[in-house]
Amino acid sequence: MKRYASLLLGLAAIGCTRAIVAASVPVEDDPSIHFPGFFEQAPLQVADARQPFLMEGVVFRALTLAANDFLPEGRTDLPCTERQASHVFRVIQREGIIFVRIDEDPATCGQAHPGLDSGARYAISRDGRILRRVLDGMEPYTAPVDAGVFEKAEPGVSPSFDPRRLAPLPFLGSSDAGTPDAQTP
Amino acid sequence: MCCREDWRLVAMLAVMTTGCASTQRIPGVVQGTEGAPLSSIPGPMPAFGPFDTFSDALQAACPLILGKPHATAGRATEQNFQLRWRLSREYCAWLYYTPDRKFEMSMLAAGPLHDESRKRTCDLPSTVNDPRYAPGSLGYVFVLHNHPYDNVLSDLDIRFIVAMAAEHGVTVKTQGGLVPLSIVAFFSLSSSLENPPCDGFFQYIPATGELLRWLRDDNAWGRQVIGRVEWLDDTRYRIVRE
Repeated sequence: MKRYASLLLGLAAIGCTRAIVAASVPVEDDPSIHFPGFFEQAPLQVADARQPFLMEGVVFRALTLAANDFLPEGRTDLPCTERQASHVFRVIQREGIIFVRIDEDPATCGQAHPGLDSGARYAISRDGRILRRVLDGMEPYTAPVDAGVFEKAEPGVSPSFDPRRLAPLPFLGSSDAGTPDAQTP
Repeated sequence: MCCREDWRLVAMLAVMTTGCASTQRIPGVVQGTEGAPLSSIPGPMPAFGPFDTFSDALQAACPLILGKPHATAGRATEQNFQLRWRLSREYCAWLYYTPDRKFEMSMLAAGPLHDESRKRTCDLPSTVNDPRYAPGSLGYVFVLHNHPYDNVLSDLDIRFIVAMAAEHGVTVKTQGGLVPLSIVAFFSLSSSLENPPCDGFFQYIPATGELLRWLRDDNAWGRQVIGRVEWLDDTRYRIVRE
């Protein structure tokens, strides 16, 4: 029974994933490849460049591969958040690998924020192979060898939060240590 | 048990062959009209709360979210994983604090239907509309969502909760003291198609920078610090794994 159910499901999946399958290219999954931090450095934006922006063909091909794999086009009724033009692309070259990160550009779709888990990362070789693809929300947790111990606690409680000692929070744009919510009851 | 699972697989097939992406309404889930994003998410979730503590609310929210259709995909090494991933769907909600000093959960927003996208995403409005309370009187405590398996928080999860911290504050004043705002991704380690158990969740707390992994064992919960997010300025950060 299970064998037939799986077979039937597989056949049905072909019909249900037509848009994705049609655009699929071989994707390897080399877990030894580690992605760089795409948000550690301020990106150089093409729009900001006063000089011409030169891009190697292999980088352009990598961008195209990643974009077509993650956001296959060809349908005329694509929602705004599924169009390649509604996204931003970050590229880092390191040790012969072209790393690409794709994120929604919410303003192009009239939204304030990108959706949770709406991006993807690709590692692509200079000869045009997708060596690794990690979709947001799909990166499996791998415990380090010297992973810390589990300690029993009530769910959701921080091990170190101390309201009397809030550190400066740079993401608030100043030395603001996080003023308690003014809207609290 | 095995036959029950088989029939669930057949049921999945039936759903797919009758239009692939079911447009059937899911209890507790709201969606924008004609693809337009929601401006706010309604609350409270019927028959959910209210709860006196956020820990109790989290424990109730986890199985509720993981029990929604296709909220989990099982282990990546198992048969049918690719199919289950293609069918999988992300749900998200706010856990919030009310003027009645209780914790409530909003209704769920849901990601796009599975045959339309490679993304497993969820658009959560930044505010809750609970008609029992005045706008601006709610405290925003947790962003809740599911991951298809034991999957870590993504960059956009981190960036979203930081944006919410900038909008609502990094802490919420409650009767029990200040509570730091955070984002949570529930997961199940089970391959069960029906009512997968809540086995744990990942959490990021902007006020402390902590990345936590929680596991449930015999109804007791344990936590582990798996890393920290170090913010360099208002847009740049690095993740340091521990």
